Amino acid sequence: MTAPVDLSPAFLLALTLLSLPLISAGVSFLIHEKISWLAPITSSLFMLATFIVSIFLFVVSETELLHALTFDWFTINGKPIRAGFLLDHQSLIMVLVVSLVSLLVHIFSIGYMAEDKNLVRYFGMLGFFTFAMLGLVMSSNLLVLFFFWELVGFSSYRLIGHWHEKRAAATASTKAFLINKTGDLSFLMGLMMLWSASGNLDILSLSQISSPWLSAAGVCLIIGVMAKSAQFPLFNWLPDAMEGPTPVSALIHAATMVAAGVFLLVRIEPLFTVECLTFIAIIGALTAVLGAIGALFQYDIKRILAYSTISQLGFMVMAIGTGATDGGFLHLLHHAFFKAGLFLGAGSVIHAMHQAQHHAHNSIDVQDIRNLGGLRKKMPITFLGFILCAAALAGLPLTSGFVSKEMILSGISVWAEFSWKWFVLLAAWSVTILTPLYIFRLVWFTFFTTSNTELQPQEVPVIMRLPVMALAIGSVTFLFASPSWSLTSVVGKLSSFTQHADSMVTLVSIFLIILSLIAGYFIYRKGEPYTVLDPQVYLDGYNTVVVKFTVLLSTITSRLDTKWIDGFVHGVSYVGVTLAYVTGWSDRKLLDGLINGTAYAAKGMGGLTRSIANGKIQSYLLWAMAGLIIFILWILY
Amino acid sequence: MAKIDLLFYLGAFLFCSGLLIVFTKKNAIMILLGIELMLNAANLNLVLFNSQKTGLEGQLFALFVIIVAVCEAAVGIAIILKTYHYYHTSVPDQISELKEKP
Repeated sequence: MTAPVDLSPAFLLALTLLSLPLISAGVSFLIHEKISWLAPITSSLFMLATFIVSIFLFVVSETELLHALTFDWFTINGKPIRAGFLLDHQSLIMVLVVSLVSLLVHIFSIGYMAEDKNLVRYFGMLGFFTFAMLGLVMSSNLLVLFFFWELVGFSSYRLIGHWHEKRAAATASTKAFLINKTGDLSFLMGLMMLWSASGNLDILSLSQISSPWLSAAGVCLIIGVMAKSAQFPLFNWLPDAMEGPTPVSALIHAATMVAAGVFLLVRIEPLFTVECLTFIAIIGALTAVLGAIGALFQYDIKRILAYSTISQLGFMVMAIGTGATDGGFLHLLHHAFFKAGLFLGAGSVIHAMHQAQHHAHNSIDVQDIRNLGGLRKKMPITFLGFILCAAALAGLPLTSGFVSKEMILSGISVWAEFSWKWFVLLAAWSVTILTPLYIFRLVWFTFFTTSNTELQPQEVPVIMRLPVMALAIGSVTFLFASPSWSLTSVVGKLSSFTQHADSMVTLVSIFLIILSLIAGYFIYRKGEPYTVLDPQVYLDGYNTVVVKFTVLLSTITSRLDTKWIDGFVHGVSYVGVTLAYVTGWSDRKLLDGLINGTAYAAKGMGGLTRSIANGKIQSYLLWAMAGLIIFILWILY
Repeated sequence: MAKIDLLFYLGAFLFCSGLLIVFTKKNAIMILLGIELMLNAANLNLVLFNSQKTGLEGQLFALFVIIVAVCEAAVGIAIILKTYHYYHTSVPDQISELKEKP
């Protein structure tokens, strides 16, 4: 049934790459509770191996230029489902980024989670997530990709709810799971439409499909992406997901999993019709602006970053919708670095503050930026890493964020020639202005203003500083790195950056970013991180309305159900039961009586005739004699 | 009434009493005795009817019957003996192996 598998080195490497994190998860789960300190070390080593293998895979594929390594998995209706690896530039770079960020997050977690009780479960799930994510990235088939997509969602659910003793964490994980399931349902519908339209789910052959269902299927897939990548209106789960451990937020809810949606959009981009692309652009624009505004008015350091992630994801989605796919993908890679760096930096801050709080027996909310301040001098290395990543997020020149942001902006400028499309362009520029503002606010209140608490936080251990610095360096050096090995040079092969470069756009954006930073300084100089209105009101407000409406609707349907449908069903069943009793009675008494009567009659007759043959010789003789006498009498007369 | 008629009645009486013994007695040996009685009745009839005519066929036949009866008695008693050995009874009513058990 299966075609012979091509056992090339790249295939074996990809298989190894996929299995290493799974083995890591298995080993972690096997480690006994008593020696749970072993789990971080083994998982980190496994992740290091994963990263090394991914580099090998990258190099091997560079020379061999392999594309799809597939085999027939199973057949439906004579149409084979081909599972396998699709190793093109996109997936290879993504694999590299995922394994690198995962490695750094593992290392960071050694320090951050040192005092956690459930180390085994934590590192096991991290490994499992990495496995699922790598599988998602390398899948050559949309169905297989969907399986990994589900696994990724599941591990996200488990990791958000890692501290499930906390009620907020438990509800947040459930919320994330439910919203993601909504999207997954739509994704599945999209897959079904594609299947019925073409009978082929290979990613490489998507562009050949032509069907009237294409727009509908595209929109269904986009809704799946919207849930996974936290796009409007399915983004509410992401800020709540910050209840999970901070390294998890860095890995899953900033760098990789939420980026999976954007990655999928890049992957299946040939599929989208013009209507789909417009839909994507509008959704992305709305999300980008709403997320940026949300980030501007939050107090919680992690929630600010969460809203920032939503905004940046919207920015990427918008880029893909407007055709600046290369820019969007590049931004996805850069974002993975600087956002993971920001989250890990925030994790360092939280960790340091917690430690200080532990000594001082203080119970303030250490994630609230109003309680932070002046950490610049106390945590200089974390501050340096954080500010580099923040600069990349803001899109300052000489950072990675700058490059991709320019690509997207110029792409959108080309696309939005006139008419209503200016709305999207306006959104893009608003995000460009708002992003430096909110990240300046965050950095200012965390690291600059004087602290109003007596806490004395210490710099975090090396094992936590190292990943932050690595990510920070990754965020700035893409431009300067020697072209032979840098990611930018590889990306340059699939995207021709110079082609889109628009010096006018670049100049204007630099000007606006600097203006925005200056404005931020003057706004927040007085040390008041004021907020105009509670962001929960307008960002989650629609959610409340939707929930109320849903509850109302379900109450009505429930009433309808109990009164009418159940009544009808009960009535029918009562009639049925009565009828059954009547037929049962008639069956027993009439039909059975008839049959039993016949049987009794037959039995009686049988007994009568049988009684002659009673087994006694003498009676036989008697009867024989009687028969003889009768016979003689009959003969005589 | 001629003397010979009485003998006919004796034959009929013998036959009937033999038949009655066969029907009523429980023990197989007694049944065999009944059968002997009936054979004797038949012999009596053979001899009596032969005396009504010339020739000796009837008396010769009676001799045959006596010999056959001797053999029959021997075989019958042998069977009864064997049955007794096997079933520990010589009452036919108690030998009911083929009968349907209630």
